[in-house]
Amino acid sequence: MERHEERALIERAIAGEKQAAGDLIRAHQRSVYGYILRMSGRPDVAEDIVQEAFVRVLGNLHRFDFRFRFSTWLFTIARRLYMNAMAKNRPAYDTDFVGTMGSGPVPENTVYRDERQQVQHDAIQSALLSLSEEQREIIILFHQLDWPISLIATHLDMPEGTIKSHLHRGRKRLRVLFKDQSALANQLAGVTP
Amino acid sequence: MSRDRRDHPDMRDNAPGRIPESLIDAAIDGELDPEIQKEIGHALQYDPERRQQFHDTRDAINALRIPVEMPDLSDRVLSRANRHRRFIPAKLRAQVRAGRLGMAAFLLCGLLTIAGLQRMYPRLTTIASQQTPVRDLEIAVEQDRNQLAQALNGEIETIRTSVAPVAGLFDRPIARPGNNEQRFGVELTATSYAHTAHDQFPRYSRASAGQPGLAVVSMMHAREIAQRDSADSIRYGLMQSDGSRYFIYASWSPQTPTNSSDRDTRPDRGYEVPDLP
Repeated sequence: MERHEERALIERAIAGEKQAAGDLIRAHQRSVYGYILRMSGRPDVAEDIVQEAFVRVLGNLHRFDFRFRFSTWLFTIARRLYMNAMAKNRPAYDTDFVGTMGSGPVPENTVYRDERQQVQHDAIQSALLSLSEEQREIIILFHQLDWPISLIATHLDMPEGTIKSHLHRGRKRLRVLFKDQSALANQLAGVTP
Repeated sequence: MSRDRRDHPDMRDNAPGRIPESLIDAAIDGELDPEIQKEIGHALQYDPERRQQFHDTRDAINALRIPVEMPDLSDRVLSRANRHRRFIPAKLRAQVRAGRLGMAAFLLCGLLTIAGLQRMYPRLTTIASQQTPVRDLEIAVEQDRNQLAQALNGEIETIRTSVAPVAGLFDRPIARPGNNEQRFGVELTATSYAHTAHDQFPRYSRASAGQPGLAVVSMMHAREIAQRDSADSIRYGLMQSDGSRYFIYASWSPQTPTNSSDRDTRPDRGYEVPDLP
């Protein structure tokens, strides 16, 4: 979505147009949900945090500064909520979630039609959860959400050099973990790599 | 030994002819020019180990980009947000805002009016007790009442002191000295006489104990006694005692309604009249 389109949408939502608020949510919910899901590994946590983040954003929409990106603001709120939730109740790795990702009924026309994709999805989630918080978050923001290094540095309040260092070390480790997890998942699922 | 060092991964990474991993990282980060990236891609064909690492990294990144399935949260979010801040049309919101502002302005005007009135007429708007015409009147009435009560108390005290000596007067008959006929009277001591009769009738001398003196009964008491006893007349007078005891005899008749102590005390009526000062 172009920035001028997003701005118009936000202004309409501020004016009380419910449809515009709904469009705003639909435009950003997938990315922020993916971010929290990858970070936590738990869809229930991701749903709760995403809902709460949007409720807070909509409640304070009139305070939004148009000089900044809406997604950055939304992610900052979601990240803070996630950190608070983790501080309260640090979740364990959700094996049930990873297991269900590769089994059970799969809706039609979804991204999970390909069994190989399911295996890869499980493997990457498992590998991500083996990384440190910083490495995981930086890799998600950089590779999944395509945030530039400078924005990640601002978002995480770290120097760009530190971000790159975490990114390279995390990516190297992810590569090894992902390869191992993929092999294991393929074996379990009986999928030939 | 040197072979061992060369077998170490770090040494192998930095071996001559190998593509530095940092360069591959820079390429993946998109920090290199397209031409250099192309050269690296070409060089990877001759470095199977690096090529495999690059492919593994690429696979992990691609797996990371697989979109996740998620429910549409917009309805739930809007429902929750609506509880905090209702989504209403802009026109209606403006009207609500104008209404709130109007109400606030009205309240402010009211407060300012009260403040102004209080400044102009402090007594009008102050609830606390303070000087007001009604309050002044109340204070004046209270003061008058106190003064009146004080005056009445004084009068009552005067009456009481005058009556005290004759309390129970004539309740019991006493014998007149030298006469067996019973008369109504009261026995007084010299002191009580002195304190009462002298105050009421200052022309009579004050008597002291053991000395002859005068006792006076007012006409009021004489009349009361006569009426009580249904007597036509009763003598009202005084007598001289024969020592420390003083006897008063009341005498009253319609013809002599005034103090007649010096008239009805003739010797032939058995009363001795002292010389009055």
